[in-house]
Amino acid sequence: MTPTPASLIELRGVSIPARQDPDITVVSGVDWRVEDGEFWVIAGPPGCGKSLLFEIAAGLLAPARGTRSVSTPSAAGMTAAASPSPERGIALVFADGGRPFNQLTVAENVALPLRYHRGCRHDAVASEVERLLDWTGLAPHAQRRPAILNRGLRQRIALARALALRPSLLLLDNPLGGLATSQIRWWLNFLANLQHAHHPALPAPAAIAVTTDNLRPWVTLGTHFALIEDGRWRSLGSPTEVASSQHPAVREMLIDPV
Amino acid sequence: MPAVPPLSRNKGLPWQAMLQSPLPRSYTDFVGQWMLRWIDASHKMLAFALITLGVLATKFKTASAVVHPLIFEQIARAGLGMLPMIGFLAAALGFVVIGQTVAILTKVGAQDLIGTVMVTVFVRELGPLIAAMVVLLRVGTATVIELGMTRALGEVEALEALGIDPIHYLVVPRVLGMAIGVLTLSSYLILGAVFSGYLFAFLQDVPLTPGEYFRQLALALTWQDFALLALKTMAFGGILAVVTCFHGLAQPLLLAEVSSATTRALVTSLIACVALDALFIVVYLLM
Repeated sequence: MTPTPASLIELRGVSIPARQDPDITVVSGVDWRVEDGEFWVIAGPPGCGKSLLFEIAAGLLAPARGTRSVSTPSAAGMTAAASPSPERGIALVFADGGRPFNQLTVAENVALPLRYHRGCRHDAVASEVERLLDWTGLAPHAQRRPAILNRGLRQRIALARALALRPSLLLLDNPLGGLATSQIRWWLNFLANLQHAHHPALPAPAAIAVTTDNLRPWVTLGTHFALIEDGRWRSLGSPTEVASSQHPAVREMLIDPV
Repeated sequence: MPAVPPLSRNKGLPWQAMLQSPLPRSYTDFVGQWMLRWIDASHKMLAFALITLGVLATKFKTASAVVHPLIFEQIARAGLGMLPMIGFLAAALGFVVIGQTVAILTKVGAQDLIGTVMVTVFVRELGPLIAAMVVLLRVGTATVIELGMTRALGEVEALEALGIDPIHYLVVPRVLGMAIGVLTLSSYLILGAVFSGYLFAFLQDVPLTPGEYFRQLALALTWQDFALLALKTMAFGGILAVVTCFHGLAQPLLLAEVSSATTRALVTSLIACVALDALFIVVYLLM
């Protein structure tokens, strides 16, 4: 019998509380286990609790019920108990522009987590920052403030900032929401590279999870799918199972947008 | 709702009957709710202050390459940046208060009291309080707005997602900046007012030599004045920083609520500083 691979994160029987009132449960019974190399797509209508799920996974919000266990790979690539260092931990890119720090330049935004956790000056991380800016196509905007950039570029700042700490689990909250077609294409290509080519920004073991309210762009990229609907968590399985699903909400999220 | 008993001569004096009569329910409700809110807010603010102190003590050397430049930036903002304004206020107050006081005391032959009056008015009271108010208006207001925007735009959660402690990164530099800022500005304000005050007295031909003027000031000052001045001004700065950071950062905020949070922070800071000043008056009276 082959041993079960170690999970990067595991949520068991988690109930997600409402942001404004912790006594109200938005989603209950979430059993989610993420392993190395997986690409999770979590679908659901707007306001169903997808963002709150990611905030719980990232440790920003406590679940109303259930347990959350995280393992972060050590430098040697072995799985160890979660350490206080956020490097190789869980990174979250927020929806709606990624929430970059508007008082800092793009380069300073990307350098901040590296400088803070290593306790060093900007010069010491300049080459890493340049590399991250090159990968995310932000090099021409390095000295600009995020406020003057469009939503797609701001979202990329948040992506570069999240990748700076070489996370083992990259959570992207609705990364394609409100983006132009060219930007959507860039994101899908970039995430495909991250997933398949063992990109240096996301060294193995690592996994990616995204939320969406439109499954179509993700069918070719995702390896595991789940649906949050009517306050319940439902695992949808593989891309083939999603494509053949007769669930009305899944069918609706697979049809062409009007 | 209990009926208000009629005022009757048989029950003694009318004011006694008024005191015995129950207050209208709505009024007591209003006062009760206000007091409960005040106690709740004070409790939260105290907890926030203790957390900040804890972070300051335990993480002072953490990420020093990132946080220490922010501390210097805040000191420059709350101290150095306020110097022109403090210089103007020192000159104006010196002319208005000290110049007139010196002139009047000399006229009535009470020159010996000049040192005591100057130390009481400026070193103990006006200097620290005016410096604190200037920092509150120029830096405290901006702090609530900046942190309120940071909170409303979700940047606090973004910091947490990167493993950065928002108290360490956003609050600690402001607390140290404002505490040191109010201390230094108070010192400059006092020195400036003392010099400009004498200049005004000199222009009025007051028969008081500079040597006598400064000798009296030196005699009136004790080492406790310097210690209490440092303690009071740093406490003022700390209070301003904690209250403004609390209102901007410590509770969920919408963009539309930033303006009301700013007003609340200004009023609370003002009341807290005056209350602390009253406490220090007790200390001075016991000296």
